[in-house]
Amino acid sequence: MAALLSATAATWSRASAYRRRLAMTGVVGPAVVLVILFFIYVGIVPSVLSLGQFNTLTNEAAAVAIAAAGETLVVLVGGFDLSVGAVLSLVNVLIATQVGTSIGSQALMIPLALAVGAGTGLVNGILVNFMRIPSIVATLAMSFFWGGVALLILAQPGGAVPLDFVNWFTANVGNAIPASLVLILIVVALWLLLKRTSLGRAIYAVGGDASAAAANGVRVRLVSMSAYALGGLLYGLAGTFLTAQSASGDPNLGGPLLLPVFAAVVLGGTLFGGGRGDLVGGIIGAYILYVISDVLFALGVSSFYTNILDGAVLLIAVVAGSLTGARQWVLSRVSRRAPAAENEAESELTGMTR
Amino acid sequence: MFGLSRIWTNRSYRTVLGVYVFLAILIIASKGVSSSFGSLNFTSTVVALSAFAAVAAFGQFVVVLTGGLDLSIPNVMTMAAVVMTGVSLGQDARIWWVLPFVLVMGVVFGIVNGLGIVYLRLSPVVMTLAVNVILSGAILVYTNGTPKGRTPPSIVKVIQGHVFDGALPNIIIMLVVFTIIGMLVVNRTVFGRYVYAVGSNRQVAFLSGVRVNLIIIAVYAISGLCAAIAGVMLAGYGNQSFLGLGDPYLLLSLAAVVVGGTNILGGRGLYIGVLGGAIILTTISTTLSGTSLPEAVKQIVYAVAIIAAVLAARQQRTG
Repeated sequence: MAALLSATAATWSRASAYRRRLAMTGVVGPAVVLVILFFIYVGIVPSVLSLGQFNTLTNEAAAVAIAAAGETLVVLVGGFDLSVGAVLSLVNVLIATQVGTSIGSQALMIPLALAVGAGTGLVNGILVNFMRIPSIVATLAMSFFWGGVALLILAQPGGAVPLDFVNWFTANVGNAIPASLVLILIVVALWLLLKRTSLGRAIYAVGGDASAAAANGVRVRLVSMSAYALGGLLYGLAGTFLTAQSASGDPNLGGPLLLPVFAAVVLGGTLFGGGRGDLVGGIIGAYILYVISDVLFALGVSSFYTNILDGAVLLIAVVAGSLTGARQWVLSRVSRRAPAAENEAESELTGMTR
Repeated sequence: MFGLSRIWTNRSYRTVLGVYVFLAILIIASKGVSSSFGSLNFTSTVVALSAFAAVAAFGQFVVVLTGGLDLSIPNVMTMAAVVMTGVSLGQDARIWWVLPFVLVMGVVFGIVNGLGIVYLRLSPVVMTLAVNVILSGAILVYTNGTPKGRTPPSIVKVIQGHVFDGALPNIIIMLVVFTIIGMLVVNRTVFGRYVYAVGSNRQVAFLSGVRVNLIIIAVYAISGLCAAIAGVMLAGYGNQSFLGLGDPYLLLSLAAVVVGGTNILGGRGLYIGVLGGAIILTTISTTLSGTSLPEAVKQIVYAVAIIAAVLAARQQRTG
């Protein structure tokens, strides 16, 4: 009997501990916002629920979403990566100029893009961690660098991407779910796996308090560099998707996406300075951005105003997210135990109290 | 103003010395690119061209000193230029109210940044980024896509003019005056001391009675003002305004601050170093434009040169 009671109590506390950990990632807020926005969108344009329209929606934000996921990794370790746009352009022109018509050559493009992306991330990571250049300056300079390389590869918009490649990424899988959504779900699944590894925990530790992490034996510079490299990997993936979407090459394709990526990261609840936030938040943030602009478009608002409204949405979302009152309210909803008992449950969490 | 011996012992001064040594090496090296480079004429041209970055970088400098960042500089600059040309429509008679209006506008944007950072507790990156985005939309709406008007001729004459029979560009004189005023404000006033204090250790500054919030709002206001000044200067230099006018100045202002030996976390740095950083960057881009390399390669070399300059600045600091 006692065993049954304690087993129930343990499951119960683990369940509420899970809910609390979920709240800690800061993803709940943005997710709720996205759901509400989506309902509004459906209310205005009911046809978005059809697979065709839904596919369009998931496709338009997918590149930014995946890129924002990569950016989140860098922000989690306390850095900024301003080279996103240039890396996207680089991957795009590489694929557009190198892809052949055979299936094999098309398939080869994916690991190529991932490798190039990870490579740029690695360079950033080395500059920031081993040459101790501030991440803003290092990544801003590298954005010039990779932008120049992209221009060398393809000076004018051009190149062609085979239809197969385009369809892999932008069509639907089995007539049920958009390929872009499947891609994003794969990224999310891999991330959830990563979070459970020591590298995943170390990323949060380094971002939260680097000296404490170092004192605990974390190889801070190596972990941070890995975060940059993994971020770059995701940029490579996003660039691949972008290429499939645009079906051509353009050395300036990625530049304008820098700000939306940053906005998506912020909207997703990740805090600059590191240690708090989640990849999933970045993905959700990207969709929030695009659903808002879709809603505005459907309402007939001039596109000149989207910029202003993007910035305003950014501000409102961040302010709303940072209001301590809101956060405490969410936490109190999630945790059924009195605050004193919270410590007990948290020690069950494997060291990650953020 | 300061004893010479201090230059050797004080770390900040040593950093500044390193910056200018690097600059001298660069100027001499530029002779390798073209025989007309590396001369006094070249130096004067480069210093004049660097004025815009130097002014914008002063704003970035005081913000970075407090541990913050201003990512809204590009569009405050563009907005100032666009409003200057669009409202004055090239008429001198309107300068007396358009110019102050534009400068006050810059201050207001800066104050908005400061308020968001202090009272909404937003990260400087987020706040200034959002303001930059909002401003870019505002610029589009105001200009309807194409900036109108021209810069009033008087301003153009001041910016593009020379004294001493064409020997010394006006802009260099303006830069010298600006630098002196800027350095006096930062190094010799109580306000300047408070700025360094807030950047060094915010808690201690607060407990010592420094009005931290006010100082933070003030530095962003100064940054907005400097961005507006730089925008007007650019409009004067080019006779007109255009979209994206301020865009290159994000990297330029940040890199000048870092290359100039300022600590990105705040609390340490000298404007004279930032000025040197701005001149270094302008020297690099001017030297590059004298080569016949393709545009893409120039961009790559520029990026590598910036990183090299930052590394060189780092080396000095640990010396």
